[in-house]
Amino acid sequence: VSGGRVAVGRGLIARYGCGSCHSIPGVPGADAMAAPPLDHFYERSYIAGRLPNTEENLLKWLQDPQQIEPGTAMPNLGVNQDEARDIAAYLYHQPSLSDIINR
Amino acid sequence: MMKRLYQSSLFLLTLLLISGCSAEPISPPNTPSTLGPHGPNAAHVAQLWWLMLGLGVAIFAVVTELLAAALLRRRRATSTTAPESSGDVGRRWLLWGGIILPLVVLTIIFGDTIYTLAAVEVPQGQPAFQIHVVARQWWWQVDYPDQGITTANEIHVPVGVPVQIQLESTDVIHSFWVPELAGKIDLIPSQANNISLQSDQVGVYRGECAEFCGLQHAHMGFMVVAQSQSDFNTWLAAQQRPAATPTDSTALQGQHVFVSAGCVFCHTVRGLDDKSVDRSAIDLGPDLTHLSSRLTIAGASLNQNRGNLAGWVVDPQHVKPGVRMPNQYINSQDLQTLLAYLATLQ
Repeated sequence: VSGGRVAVGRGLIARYGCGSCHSIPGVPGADAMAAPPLDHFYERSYIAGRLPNTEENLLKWLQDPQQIEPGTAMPNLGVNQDEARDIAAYLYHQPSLSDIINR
Repeated sequence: MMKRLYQSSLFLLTLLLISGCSAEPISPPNTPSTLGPHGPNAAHVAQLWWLMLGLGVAIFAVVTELLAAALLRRRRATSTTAPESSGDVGRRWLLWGGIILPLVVLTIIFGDTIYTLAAVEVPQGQPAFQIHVVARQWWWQVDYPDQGITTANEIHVPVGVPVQIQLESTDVIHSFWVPELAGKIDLIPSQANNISLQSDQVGVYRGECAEFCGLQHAHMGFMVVAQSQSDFNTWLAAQQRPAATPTDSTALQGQHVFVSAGCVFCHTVRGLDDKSVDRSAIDLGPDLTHLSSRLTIAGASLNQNRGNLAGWVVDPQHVKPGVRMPNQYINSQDLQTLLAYLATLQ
């Protein structure tokens, strides 16, 4: 994600309480079951079972899920464009091949 | 073999270090220390601790030195002669090292302990104002009886003055501990204990239950918010107000959800008058009249924000397995309006 900072995104995910519904690897305490798990997010085809999983759609979804899918369980959390960029950067962040080999 | 031992101990050490810093800091940092006191009572406790550490280190050093001397002393070339030390020397070592020295050390510690206990004692007479804390499995009910305020998991106090808190429990034994402000004291069913604490600095201090009290003992925290006298008065005034009926239509819908989904059967919202509810049963869960003004939810285990509230409302059993609050099976639209309503409880 252009301009997105992975480490900052991780902090924002913790701050907005995403982990109370989603299970997100690498975010302490984010092990909830209420909403879909976000591991291997870059491999998912759809966001919210509806939007193709593109960077642009993810940014929209993070900022205003209620507009895209009115009445969905995910509340609008007041995430702004820059924050959405950082969060998206974390969600799309994937382990490099050497990370996987050395695991 | 030595290398293996070295490697595995290094691994264990690393593991310890990692586990020590893995928890996401909830605001404020959730690892308060007794050695960083922010009030006179905690300072007394810390001072006693340092004294004991000092004496302990001194004794350890002397014993280690004696041990080293005994190990390194050259053996006599011949052992035909009888050892020159007679029983007298041995007896002197026993007398000084075994009786007089421990007596001196223990007397010092005993004296300082008595002094510390007296120093942190709750002063006699009526306190300036009353705070009652009732421990529940696994949260803290906080009452200001003179002002008619009931809140949860957050104790506001004015800075710089001693505050007396009366402590009780309705279920099992808990222990009240704010490491930076005072020592610990148990909360015992059908017995009221008192503790005095004072904060010398404006700030937020984390407290914990310090007596194992069941499944979610580890998630039974609270915050002490020390404020200037004027901020404290403002807070009191705000907390005294009942919740207003929301003007926003979404929040109003959420209020209906709050009633129809049954939240009202355990949670009080002052100002929300529903005649169909049996008021006598309403103290199972925290009073939510000013929920959104609090720093945390769920016994200070989550920061108070919309994301955490959503997850907590629908699936508390995952956040705090065994908690009294059941999972809520409400549709997603109702969840949105409910969150809008909860946000109005300022």
